Amino acid sequence: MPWVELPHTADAGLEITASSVEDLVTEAARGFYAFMFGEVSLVRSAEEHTVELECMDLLELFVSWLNELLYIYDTREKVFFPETIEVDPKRARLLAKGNLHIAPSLARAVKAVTYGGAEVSEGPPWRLRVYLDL
Amino acid sequence: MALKQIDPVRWVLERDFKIGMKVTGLIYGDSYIIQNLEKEGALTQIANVACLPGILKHSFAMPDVHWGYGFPIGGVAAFSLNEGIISPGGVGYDISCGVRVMLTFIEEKEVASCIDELTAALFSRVPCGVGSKGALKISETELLSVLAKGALWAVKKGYGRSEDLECIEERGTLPHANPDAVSKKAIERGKPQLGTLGSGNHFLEIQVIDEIYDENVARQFGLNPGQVTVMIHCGSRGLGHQVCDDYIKVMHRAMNKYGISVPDRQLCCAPLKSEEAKQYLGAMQAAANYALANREIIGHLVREVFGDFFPKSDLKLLYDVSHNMAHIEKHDVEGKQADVCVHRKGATRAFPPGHPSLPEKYRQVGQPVIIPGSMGTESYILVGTKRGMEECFASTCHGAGRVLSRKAAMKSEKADTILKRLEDRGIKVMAETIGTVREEIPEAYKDVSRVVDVVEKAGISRKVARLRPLAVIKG
Repeated sequence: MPWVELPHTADAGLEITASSVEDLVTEAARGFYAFMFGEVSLVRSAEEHTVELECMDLLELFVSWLNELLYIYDTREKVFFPETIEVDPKRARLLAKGNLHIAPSLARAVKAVTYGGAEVSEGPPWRLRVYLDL
Repeated sequence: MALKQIDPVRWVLERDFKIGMKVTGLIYGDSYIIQNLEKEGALTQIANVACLPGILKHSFAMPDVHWGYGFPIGGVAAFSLNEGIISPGGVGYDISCGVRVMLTFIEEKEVASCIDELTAALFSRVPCGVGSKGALKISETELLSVLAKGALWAVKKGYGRSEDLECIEERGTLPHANPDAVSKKAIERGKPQLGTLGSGNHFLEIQVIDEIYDENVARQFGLNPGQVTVMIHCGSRGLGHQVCDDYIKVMHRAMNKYGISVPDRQLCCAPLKSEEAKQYLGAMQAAANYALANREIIGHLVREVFGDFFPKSDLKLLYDVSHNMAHIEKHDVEGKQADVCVHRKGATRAFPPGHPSLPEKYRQVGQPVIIPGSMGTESYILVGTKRGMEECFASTCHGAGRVLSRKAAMKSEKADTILKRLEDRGIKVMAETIGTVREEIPEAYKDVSRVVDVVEKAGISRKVARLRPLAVIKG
């Protein structure tokens, strides 16, 4: 499993590992959704979606990416697994395109993805650690 | 060792604990609380807060302190307006998360005869759970009005009573709210969620007053033994979360601009005199107004349900107070009165007798301070003290404080067993998701009575009454 849950007194952490920065974007989304929904079986909707992020650094890019997924869920009750991902790690830019899918029933609520104790290390293997405010 | 006990309930975290600490840490706790604290990352977080520019006196930790993100939960820090900063991480994502207590004039035996039906009716009437949508359909223009006016908006729209306002902190409206500083994304998240409880540790509880500790103050607060009360715990929902996230990014950039470095990125901040700080203060106050309106609307829904069961009943608001906020307040600093910015992250404001911000009816005795226990345990009403005002910027604890991670709590017991155990003690629980019940087991928290005893022994607030739960509604 490319992600593990880390213990935290009040909240929860996720550590995600991948072989490339693009895979880390995908696996971070998978791990995040698995935490929120448990098993995710996808029902694709016709709605196309694009996420474009320009950040200050790579850590902000990953925290923003997961918070963007939370925003999509909060406002549309959808999940987003992009089909194409372009990442420029030096400029901290991300372009993700794909379709939205109908969200399964929620198992665990997440308020936000925080920067507290967050780290991203360049690879391979690429590694991301974030703590979630629950 | 850097942690030094100075009296039975006060511990000082010396500045040599971490390079860069500008002040010491002051932790309120007994040996049990301190033992738990040393097992996790909260001591480092108390020290990290002590490194922030312009911090005054100490980095404080209340006895419900535990590992959070950025600030510890239970953390209090005040900053000079000239040299100090404001940090969204010192307020948290759930801006103005807080509690209110409403007093009924019904006795326990009357409620006991219909507790199942009453709880079910509240569960059905008050939207709860993640992403729950409110009973109110409002336009974006109306939402901007909510952000500007807070609980006053709810009262004007018929979702509350004008007499409630004097019993809400800041009379229900944060005066410097700036809806223009709130992003479109935050507005989009907040619009459908107004009038909802949310999930996690948020709850609505029917309780009964089972012990009075201070008869004089209890009389002034209108508290009587055997009286049924309702406690509501919730905040600013997705709107507040988005405001925090938006301004953390603003603060990351501001730190480069102003040459500030912090030991944890979640503590990112800007000088209080800066434009970035003004924008955040305006957005934070707008989110707080949303939270105050949210609790007022839920209070209105509770009144409607109680009205269906007890047509002659009335519910009076005791008080409504936030425990995730930064306020500009007047305090004594080195013998002079000065405006300072007090961050309370999982800590409650507790103004003493005579404070000018208090409503007339409480001014003589002090502010009601509401301390919810964990699911199935007692809650407390305290009152603010002069010592708390002088020592820790009129602050006290906000609850029991977790000791067990959610992952560990989930492994401990099945939901059915937990519900049965609580029912055997006469506590009815209804929850939107079973996972919440397992995460929120009473054993996941410290003993609230012990936490409250610490703040009383420290003299930073005083016990007035204890409330026993009869029914709990969780998201």
